Amino acid sequence: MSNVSRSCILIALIMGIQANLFAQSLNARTDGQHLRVVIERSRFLSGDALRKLHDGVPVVYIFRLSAHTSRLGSTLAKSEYRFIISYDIFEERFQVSPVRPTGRVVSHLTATTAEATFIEAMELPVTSIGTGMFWLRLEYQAEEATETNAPGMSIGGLVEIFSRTGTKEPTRGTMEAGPLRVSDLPRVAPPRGKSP
Amino acid sequence: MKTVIFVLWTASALMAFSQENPSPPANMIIERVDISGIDDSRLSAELRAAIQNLVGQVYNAQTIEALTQDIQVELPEYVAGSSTQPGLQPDRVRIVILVAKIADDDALRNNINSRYLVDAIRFEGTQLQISDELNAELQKMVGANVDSAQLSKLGERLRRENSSSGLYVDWKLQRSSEPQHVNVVYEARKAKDTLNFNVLRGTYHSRQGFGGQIFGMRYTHVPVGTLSFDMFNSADEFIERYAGYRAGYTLGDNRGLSFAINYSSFRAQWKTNTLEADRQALDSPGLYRLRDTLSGQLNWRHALDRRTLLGAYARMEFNELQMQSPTMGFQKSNVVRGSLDASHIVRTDRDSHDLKGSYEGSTGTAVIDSDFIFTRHEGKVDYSYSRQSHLIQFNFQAGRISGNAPMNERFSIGNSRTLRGWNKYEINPLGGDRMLYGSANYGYKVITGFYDFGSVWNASESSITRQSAGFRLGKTRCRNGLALLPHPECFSVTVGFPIHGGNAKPSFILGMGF
Repeated sequence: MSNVSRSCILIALIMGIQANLFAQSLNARTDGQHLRVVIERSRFLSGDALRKLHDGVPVVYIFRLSAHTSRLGSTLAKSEYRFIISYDIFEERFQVSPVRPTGRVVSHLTATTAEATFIEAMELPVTSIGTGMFWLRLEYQAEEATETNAPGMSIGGLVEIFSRTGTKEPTRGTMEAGPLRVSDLPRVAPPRGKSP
Repeated sequence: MKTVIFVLWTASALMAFSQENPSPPANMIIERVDISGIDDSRLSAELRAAIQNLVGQVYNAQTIEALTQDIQVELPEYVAGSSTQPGLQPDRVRIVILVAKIADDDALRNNINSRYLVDAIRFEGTQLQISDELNAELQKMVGANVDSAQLSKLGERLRRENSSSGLYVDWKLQRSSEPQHVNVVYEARKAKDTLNFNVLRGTYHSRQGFGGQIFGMRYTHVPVGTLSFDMFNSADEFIERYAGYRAGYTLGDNRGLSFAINYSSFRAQWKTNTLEADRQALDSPGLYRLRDTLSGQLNWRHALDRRTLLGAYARMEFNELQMQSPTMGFQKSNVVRGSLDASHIVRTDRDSHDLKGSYEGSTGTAVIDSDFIFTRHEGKVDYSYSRQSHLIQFNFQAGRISGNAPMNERFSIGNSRTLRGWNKYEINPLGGDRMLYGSANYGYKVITGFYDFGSVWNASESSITRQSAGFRLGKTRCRNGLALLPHPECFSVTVGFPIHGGNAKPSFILGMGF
């Protein structure tokens, strides 16, 4: 293989990685006293987690949304969400079941609408963020749902916490946006009859 | 806003109803269509009309299936299925569309496929050995609804029964030949061997220098064990600064029983304070230049329940010390050591409690040809409570040695983790055979204030309790993982001030990787 070909492959690989990194873009809007996220071209349902779902195995998605004073600064506000996702192997549709905080189960969703369900559920209180500049960070990870009926954590998880030897490498990712200012964000009026 | 109406149809009832009513023969005319489980006014006018348009038409399973799917699209919190009943005339059928709410059924909440029935259990991949008892448990699932939690539990049991082969066992569902019936497939595959490296994990103490791991390597060969090699240069744990390597092999993983064998060789360096104290003290155990250790250790771990983990180990150590004082030569410090520990963790949405306790006892006796005859006891208790950004932490440890223990067994505090702010070489340069230490910490976000107190002394002396206070900037928990270099989140800065320390200066501690 010539050097030119090798260079082309290398550039294509780098471009591919870059494209993947920037494919999902994080942004924010305000909805009354809440800051909500806007994600273009979200691809949370992918990779090994999606393969598991297609095999009929439920997967837990954990999202941590936080606002920071700067990119590596202290935390102004944070929230965590857990969803159990399952995929109907006959109807080929997703179901999203919020478990933390508990919420309304929604089923018969396409991948796009399932991802929109996660995004719509996530919010931060605007009052905690204040009026200054901030950075927004969204971390997510997916892991196989095991013994999700019971509260607390699984024995396997407990052993892994203490031994620090996880055998399952979960799907995970981080998105960041900033610097942002609440006053500069697009606003969405709350629905009629709903207090902000 | 939550829906007020609750329809308590379960998915299994829905499935059973469908099973009792096999598809009617072709060319049957639909006499009537009923919707059960919801008020049909909840459906759109178009969908209601499409359903009622079925009346008078020839029965077609695909058309009815499409309409039940339309119901599910309009009402995403519900599942819908259909059933046929005999009509009033022989060539007529009645259609009943059943609608059930998902949110009322925990199994369905966790996996939408829980409404399907299991037809068969299959195995793929590496051949598995299955006990009769487990096989009976697996067969119980046939004919029942899919139960994800039970499938995972039985998968874990399959893995445990074949742990000697180092297998991962995953389950998946496949459509069966019958509609809305599935096959469960357990797939067994051999775990992959892994190789991990990491560098520079430890602390830099302004009075004591760097202490920690320079380089680490782990090669896990599944299912046999893990080969490890580490290089250290540290003055943190002991009075001595030790530099050298440790190599070892662990048979088994750290779930259940494992056995580890290690060999280490460390060169010791001593501070001027220690050399001076050794010259003056009549009861000094002596200083060494080299410390070579061969040890064998049996480990045991057991999860008592979902929140409590028990652990224990028994270790035999053969230490050869090349002494530099009081006389040149070699001495043996052979030790039998045992430990018990327990951890209890309670984590909820809002807060978490972690309680850990351990006891370690060791003895050097003539029975195992030790030149140092001693008994050592050490206990530790740690408690932490966190709620949102707040953290409260208490640590306590106590120790006692009787007899003549070598320097690496003697207690010392005043390093990067204990009595922060004090310098251990100034407190007690030869260490002590008694130790009491406590610490209270309050953290908010990335800043933690601490108050430490403790004393190290010899039984023949009176103890002096010292105190320090300070703050730490850094995350309380960080994601170090298996990365080569410490994660940026795992760096911290600690400043400790001795209280009533006279001329004692504050200490600055940079944490890297923990």
